[in-house]
Amino acid sequence: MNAKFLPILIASAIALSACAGAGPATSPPNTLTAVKVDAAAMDAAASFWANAPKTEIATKAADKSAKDGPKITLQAVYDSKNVVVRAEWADSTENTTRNAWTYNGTAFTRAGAQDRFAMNFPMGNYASFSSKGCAVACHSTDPDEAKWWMGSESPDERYDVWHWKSSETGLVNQVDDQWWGPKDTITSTTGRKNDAGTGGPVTNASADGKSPKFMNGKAPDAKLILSGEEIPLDVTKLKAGAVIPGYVLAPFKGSRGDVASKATFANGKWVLVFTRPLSTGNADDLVFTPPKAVPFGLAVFDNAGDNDHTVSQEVLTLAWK
Amino acid sequence: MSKIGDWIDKRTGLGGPIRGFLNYPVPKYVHQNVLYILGGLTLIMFMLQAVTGIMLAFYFDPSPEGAYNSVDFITYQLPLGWLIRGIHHYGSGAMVILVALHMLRTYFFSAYKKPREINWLTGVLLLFVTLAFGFTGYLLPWDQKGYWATRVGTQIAGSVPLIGDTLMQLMRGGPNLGQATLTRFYATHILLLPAMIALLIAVHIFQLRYHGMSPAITEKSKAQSKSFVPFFPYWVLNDAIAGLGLLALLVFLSATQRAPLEFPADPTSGNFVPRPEWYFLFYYQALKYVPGALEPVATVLIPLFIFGSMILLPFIDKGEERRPWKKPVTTIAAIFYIVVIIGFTVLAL
Amino acid sequence: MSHDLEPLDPAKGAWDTKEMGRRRFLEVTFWSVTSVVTVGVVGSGGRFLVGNSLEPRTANWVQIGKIAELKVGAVNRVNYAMKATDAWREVEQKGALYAYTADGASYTVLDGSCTHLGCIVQWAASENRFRCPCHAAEFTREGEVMSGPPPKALGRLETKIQDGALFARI
Repeated sequence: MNAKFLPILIASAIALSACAGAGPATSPPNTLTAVKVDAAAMDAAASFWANAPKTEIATKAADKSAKDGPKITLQAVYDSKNVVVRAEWADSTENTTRNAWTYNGTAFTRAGAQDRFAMNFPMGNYASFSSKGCAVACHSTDPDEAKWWMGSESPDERYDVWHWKSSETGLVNQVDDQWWGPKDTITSTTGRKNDAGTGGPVTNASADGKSPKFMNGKAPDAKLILSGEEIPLDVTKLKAGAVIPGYVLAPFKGSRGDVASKATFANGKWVLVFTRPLSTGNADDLVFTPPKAVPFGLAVFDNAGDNDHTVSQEVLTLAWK
Repeated sequence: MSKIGDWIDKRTGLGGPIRGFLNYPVPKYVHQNVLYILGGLTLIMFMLQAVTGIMLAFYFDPSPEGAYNSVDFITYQLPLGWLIRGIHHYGSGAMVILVALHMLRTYFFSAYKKPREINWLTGVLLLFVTLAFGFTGYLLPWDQKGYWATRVGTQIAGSVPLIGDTLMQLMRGGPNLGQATLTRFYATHILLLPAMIALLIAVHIFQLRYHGMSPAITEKSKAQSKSFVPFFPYWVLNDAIAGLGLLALLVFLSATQRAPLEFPADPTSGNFVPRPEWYFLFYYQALKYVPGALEPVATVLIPLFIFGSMILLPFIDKGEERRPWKKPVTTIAAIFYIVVIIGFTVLAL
Repeated sequence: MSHDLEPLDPAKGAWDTKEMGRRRFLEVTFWSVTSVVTVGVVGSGGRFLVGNSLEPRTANWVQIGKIAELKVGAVNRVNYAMKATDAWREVEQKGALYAYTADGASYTVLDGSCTHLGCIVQWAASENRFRCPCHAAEFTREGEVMSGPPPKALGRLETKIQDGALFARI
């Protein structure tokens, strides 16, 4: 009996079996694995992205007859304080002019929408969301589309929502930090709410609603009118064909401004990076506690002003490595 | 020191028995063979499970609403919670492995033979109690894995002819999995099974001391069987060092891979594939090969056959021969079982 | 441990005399290993069991009633409820307080827990005092000890008035 090697053999047998019992060795599909880095920065070209695994997420419309949305390529990194997500998807057009005014030399017409991207995270351990995905919060099974609504069915069920809007928040490098809860009233069609805070877009319309009220004081043709830099509309400075933004933007302050973003559109592709502290200290935000995996949902909106969007219909998981 | 010791000894009378226990003569062939640490190591592993289990009970909430959140709290928020739960989780697997290895050692050394039959029988019961600990334990977090494995596990009991339904409802505490099931499994896991295992361990160790070590089987061992060392510190130290190594391994595993906690149990989820803990995987795989009509064969006859053959072993194999290479029938039967169990487990991974 | 080993029955065998020389060394090794493990287990186990139990209480502003509904010149017993995290549960934490105002502008809000052993004191309006049902302690309307065993006055909470409602820091 060669007994000397036995302890080693036993130890390795135990180690192996215990590892085998630890769960699936390969990362399952629909899992976004955030990789730990020394300093997570909101930089789409940073070298650490080379080490962060890419996950492809397919998106579909709730309306079965509508065509599928783009595939989203997701990556994530984190450090001791922040998580950074990088999303990339194909889009034939860059749309960042929601409700913008176009001047034809005599009058204005208001039109336009924006590209958007959103993620939502349950703020607790909700069995149905983590097994069925985002669909449980999108009450979209009724044949009558007018009855669809978004939100939760109980005050104990809340979702943290990060809603990037290319025109309303993207232009000031932010994401609208929102949350979903139950409907406020029986007749209301949404449980979507904004995190606490001030700032945000203010519609840019004159009292009669026929023209913009303000224009950019420095460059009349700029895509952005930052709050404080607006001047009253002065048509003498405009040429025919000029486009005036539909909103005056003030960056969010407070909990609603917790998520920062940076987006670029080039070669038919959006590249969006956004970041948030793992813990914001605000009651309306989810606290990430790596390595605890959390489920999430994802939606992309192509030039949409309303709820027209395509979503991942799978359970998505944010894991940490 | 000795004055206090004398004072206590005069009043309790424990000095003699303790000295007797510690100075028990262990044959040198036993002390020098590492295979003999397996029993003691299993006991150490059980003690680690008991200690970490008691600690976890300070935070566990045995209700379907609270169980998951409390285990989540232990794993991700409580200081050192990852460690205590990690040791308990990986320890359960280590316990199964150690019991199995200890049992194989006993088997191949023919230590179950007369007069040690009772020791073998308590050992078989200890194996099943260990598995029962595992089965009742992993429902407790009330996550998808625990919920579905229990739902399927109790359904297996339900396929027993005639009494199946009754059996299943008794296990579940009702027709469905719910609060009653969780409370039952919890009480079984932390009260009933510990009491049973403590009793069995006591009988098991008493038997060992009563009959002494089983005879040496090799010529080399026989030559050393007249030479003895005291149990303490010689043998105890072997186990203590092995135990330290085991603890270090469990700490390492807990630190590198957090004890798993899947998403919370959803009785309405349609796409979850229930899989049991790895030590039940071979059985899970075996069930895949059995056609529906023969289900009672797989769920009743095969387990009954395995359990029955283990119980009957010392009464069937009664010959004097103890060397495994001279007893091809038992040796080949054991190797067959090992190959099937490992093979099915690998297939199921 | 006793170091005298009784000689074994010669028919059974004998103590290994060569091994006996290492006995003391092995004992020391055993106790060293055991102490290391014990320190590790007791230390980490103790930390785990202490858990978050010693974290300081956090104070929150809680609305305890509308100004219009609180009677002036009388002691009002008010129940409050607030969302709180209780270990791993989100709960509605409830409690009882006493609020008194003479002028409707400045309020005295007292924690109803007796400072002796924590029973809830009752307001005896006819005698103009708080009375503890457990050990016969009495407090004035302002919470000062009148008689009985309590070591100090009833806890007085910080208050503020906002949007027509009275808030207290709990």
